[in-house]
Amino acid sequence: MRSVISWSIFVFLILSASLIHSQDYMAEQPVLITSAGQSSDVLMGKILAGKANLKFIFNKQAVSIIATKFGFKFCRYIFNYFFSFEMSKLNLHSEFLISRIIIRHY
Amino acid sequence: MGWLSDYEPALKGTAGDTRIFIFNGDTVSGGKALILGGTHPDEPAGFVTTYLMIENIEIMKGTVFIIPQANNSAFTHTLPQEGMPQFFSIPGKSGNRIFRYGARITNAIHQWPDPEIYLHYPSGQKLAGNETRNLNRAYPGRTDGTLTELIAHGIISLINKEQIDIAFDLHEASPEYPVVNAIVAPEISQDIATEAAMELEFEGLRYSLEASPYNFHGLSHREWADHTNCLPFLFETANPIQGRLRGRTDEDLLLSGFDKMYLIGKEIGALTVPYDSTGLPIQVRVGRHLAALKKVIEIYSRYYPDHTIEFSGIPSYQIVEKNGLKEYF
Repeated sequence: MRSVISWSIFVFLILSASLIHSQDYMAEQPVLITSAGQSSDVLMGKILAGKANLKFIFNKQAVSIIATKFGFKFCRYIFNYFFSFEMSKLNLHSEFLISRIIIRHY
Repeated sequence: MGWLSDYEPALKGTAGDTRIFIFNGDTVSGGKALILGGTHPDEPAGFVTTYLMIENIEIMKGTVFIIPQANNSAFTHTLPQEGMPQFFSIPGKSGNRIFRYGARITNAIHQWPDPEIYLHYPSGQKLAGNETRNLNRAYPGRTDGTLTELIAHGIISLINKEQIDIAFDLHEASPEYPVVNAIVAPEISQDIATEAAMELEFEGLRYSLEASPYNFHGLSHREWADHTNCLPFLFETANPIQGRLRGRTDEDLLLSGFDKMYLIGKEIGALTVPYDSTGLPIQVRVGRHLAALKKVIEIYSRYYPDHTIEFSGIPSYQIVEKNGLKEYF
């Protein structure tokens, strides 16, 4: 699974400021699902979030809007605080650790 | 069985007219699917898949339309200077089944001359002149256009008239091409395509997801989405006989998908798909198309329970890969 999405960057932006200081990377909802590239694999994040009944906003252009406004360094800082979510909720077989993917790409 | 000229009368009596195989189940509550093979007759896994379905499908619910030779004219020639075989055969239960191998574009005998620059209708997009004979650059087509545009218009008319819910275009491409082992889908189909790719991955079959480009016109998945109400999908498998790294170009390469130069290509990182000494045999490529088709239709039926399409008789990827195609022809 991870190799399928190796070109994709999934970003779950944390809307709670308190999360920035969290040690376990837990996030509050809603989350923003976006992508810095053109890959369609970000859609997997959307589908999985839907199956997990997460509240989410799907906007493929969001990361470029953020980067344009605040710069890529800011984006990189933010990405370090993103989280993974439990695949067990989805009753699926594969691990889908968003944070690992993000860390690998940044 | 019907003909494409039933939907575009100007095709009647031309080399572009082609057969449509129709399989009805419980049509009251079922959905409708269209499956195209032979958009590019030099991509054999596509039309072999459709023939396998025609000869083996048992439909329970819904309706399935299958066009195995979407560009019928392109089955009547091969591209010059490529050394392609004209025919290939697959062993079947009652002897060898012989298939015609064709070309990517309509035969110049049936559509001539090519313009210097092909202006796509209606977008005005400019492409190389010979692309005017490429069915997968001709959609949505027009009723007073070239033969290829007539074929495209016939398929669009079929989708609209029959109120097709879900439509597939089966292709192959060279192993060095980026869009292989892929499911291509426009925005409207992407949720189903995504879920299908994930579930297929869990079953051990890897497909990349590709989005239909917004501004590249003439492609089936782009124009079906924009000019009909169906959910379009295009599948690609990898086929070395179409590649530039190939050596001897013959029936064996077409069927086995093995060429030693492609092993070197893999070593130097020129390929976008896994490749080893087992090659990419036709049963693997057909099996991938079958698996993706079945999975997308299964998920579509899950999304739209009032338009369920159910059928049996179509083997799994694992069985086709292991036993080959003999049992099905």
